[in-house]
Amino acid sequence: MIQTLSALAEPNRLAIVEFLREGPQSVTDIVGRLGLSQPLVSKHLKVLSEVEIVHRRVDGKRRIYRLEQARFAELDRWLDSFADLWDERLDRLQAHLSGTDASS
Amino acid sequence: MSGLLVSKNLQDREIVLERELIGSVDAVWRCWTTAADLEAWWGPEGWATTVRSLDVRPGGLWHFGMGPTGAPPEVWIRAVYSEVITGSALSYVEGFSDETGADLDPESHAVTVEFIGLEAGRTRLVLRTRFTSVDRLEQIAAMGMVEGWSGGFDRLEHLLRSMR
Repeated sequence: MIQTLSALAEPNRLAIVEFLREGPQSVTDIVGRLGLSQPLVSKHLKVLSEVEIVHRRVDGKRRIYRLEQARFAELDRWLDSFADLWDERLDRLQAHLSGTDASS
Repeated sequence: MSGLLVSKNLQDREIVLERELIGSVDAVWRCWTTAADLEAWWGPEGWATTVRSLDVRPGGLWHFGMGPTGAPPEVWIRAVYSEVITGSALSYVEGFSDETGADLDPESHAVTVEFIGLEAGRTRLVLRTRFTSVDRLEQIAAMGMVEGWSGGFDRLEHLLRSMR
């Protein structure tokens, strides 16, 4: 999860991920969309592959990248658990506001 | 069904939570800015919160400890208010501390709480937490906060009970 966040902290990598949300893309497509050099895009894709944010498939001469859903599910669960702890805390705030003795 | 709204902004490492509470803005504000009230609801479940300092003004310190009910606090938190608009908004930078209130955390995270009054004695709370770095997230995860209070801390409490 931490690696996922680190990899996404770089704006161009996040832009690649945003683009891949539209569907699988070739390296050429990604280069065209981001307006970055191919070596730079390849470097970012390597980082994203290493932490399994993206998955690479070779189709003839083309390299096609798609998002690896499992990583995002993991990050999403982490943030959900953070939200859950606050939801429980706010339940206690509500109980306190309502003057019940549940939290006293 | 609490009606909690959650929005996540990965790029800014920010999570925003919104929830409506039954209670006037004044009452909700009091719950956040009065030691006795905070101790009554802050939790987590099965744990007691002890407020050592609560100086609600810009630059003021909010220092508190949390520990299993009936035992001394095990975790100390210190927050310094960056903005205080009475009855409307609280911003603070929160980090790990010790019993003395020392600043032991180079990577405190920023929290903003907005209090929005609605009709008929209802209040909408908007809680924004922005984490400074991924290391910070890892540290919080290690403390068990991330697993949820009812997860990590309940397990710890059971463990402590079984050791008595």
